[in-house]
Amino acid sequence: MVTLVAALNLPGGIGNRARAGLRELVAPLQGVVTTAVRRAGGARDAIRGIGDLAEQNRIMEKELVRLRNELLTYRGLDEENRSLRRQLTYRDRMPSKLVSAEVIARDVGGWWHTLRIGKGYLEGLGPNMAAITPDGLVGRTLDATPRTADVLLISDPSCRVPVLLPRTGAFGIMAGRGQAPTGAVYCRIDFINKNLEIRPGDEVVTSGLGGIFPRGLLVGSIDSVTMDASGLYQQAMVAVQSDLGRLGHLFVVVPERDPAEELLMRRAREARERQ
Amino acid sequence: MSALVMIFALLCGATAQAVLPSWTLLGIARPPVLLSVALYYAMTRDREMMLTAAVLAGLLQDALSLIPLGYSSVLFSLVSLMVARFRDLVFVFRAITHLILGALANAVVTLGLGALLVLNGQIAFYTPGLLSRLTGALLAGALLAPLIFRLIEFIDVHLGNIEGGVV
Repeated sequence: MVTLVAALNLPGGIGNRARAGLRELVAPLQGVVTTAVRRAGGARDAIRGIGDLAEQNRIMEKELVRLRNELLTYRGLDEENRSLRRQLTYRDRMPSKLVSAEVIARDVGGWWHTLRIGKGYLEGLGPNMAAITPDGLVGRTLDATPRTADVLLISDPSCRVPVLLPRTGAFGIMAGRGQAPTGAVYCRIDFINKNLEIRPGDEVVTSGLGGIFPRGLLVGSIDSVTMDASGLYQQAMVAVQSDLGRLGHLFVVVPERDPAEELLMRRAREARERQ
Repeated sequence: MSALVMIFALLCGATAQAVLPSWTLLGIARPPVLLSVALYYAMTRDREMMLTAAVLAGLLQDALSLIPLGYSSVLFSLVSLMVARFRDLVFVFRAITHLILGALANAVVTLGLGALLVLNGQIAFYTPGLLSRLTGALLAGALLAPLIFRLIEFIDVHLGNIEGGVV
């Protein structure tokens, strides 16, 4: 009972450390089980004659993610983008790197759409970094421990993503709508200009506003369009491109920091660990 | 030895709960492995060990999700106390007892956690989602609890912690 009362009244910092400690305790076991399950699947694939290509496939997948996102970034709308950048006081993005991470677990409570990956702040991961797959955006990181990080999936209603519809140049805020009984994931874009003609099938990408998600990451395509209850905006349902239910590994977009910032971050982390 | 078995069961339970798939059709109900472990100790052990198992199982569940630390522990402890209150009136080692107990306990914990999270502003109240989640919780609890009871009982019997279904 003393433990229970203490747990309920822990100050934020100590509570977070206790939570991180428990997560770190279970993470190796989760990693082993997930790896074992994945290897069993790999063995089955090997029997089918494609298992020996797994490593090569992984490298090519990483390259594919980079190329697809570059393609989306530079596709056909240069002039319009220049105009939008001027309007939105566009600032140059810092270069970023992709960190590959395996999914080791999903939220044990089932109240949120989250999953846990087997890389943490030792690999440079921190909160609010975009998580992507070759198919597109899957979510953003929440908190990170030394060897794990939680990813909030875009299917969760609390995950809001500023998006852009490249064909019309329409902006909006997308939020998760959970998972349909069929397993398909839908999100809804609110606050779309009512004068723009949005069609089913239109591509949806991240707009880069807000600073969490880099611009131009593919999210999915428009499924249906309706008018907002107020009549001031349009709403659109988005069919998400990535298969969120079967994610085995993903990539986290880690912004490159300049050396001075890196040094400050490391010192802050060391000070936190000493406390 | 009993304490070691309990810690082993809790760690394996936490891992299994995170790795096992959830059912989309039933409100993404997670398999209640940790709750089942807590229920096993509520049915077969003294109050001290029962509450230790409930608190630890709850802490693990909270730490491995975004639930504030302690919420699950409170609910697991309350459910365990209720189970302990009535365990003299039921067949402790019958699968049907575990099935009904698992279903009801998981539904109560799901409702309680949902209410706490809504009151805390961490999730939005959504009636259809709640109904499918409750149905999922009932089914998941009914299916999983007898299995978990059998597994831990098997280990306990082989290590001599209990004798053939008698504590």
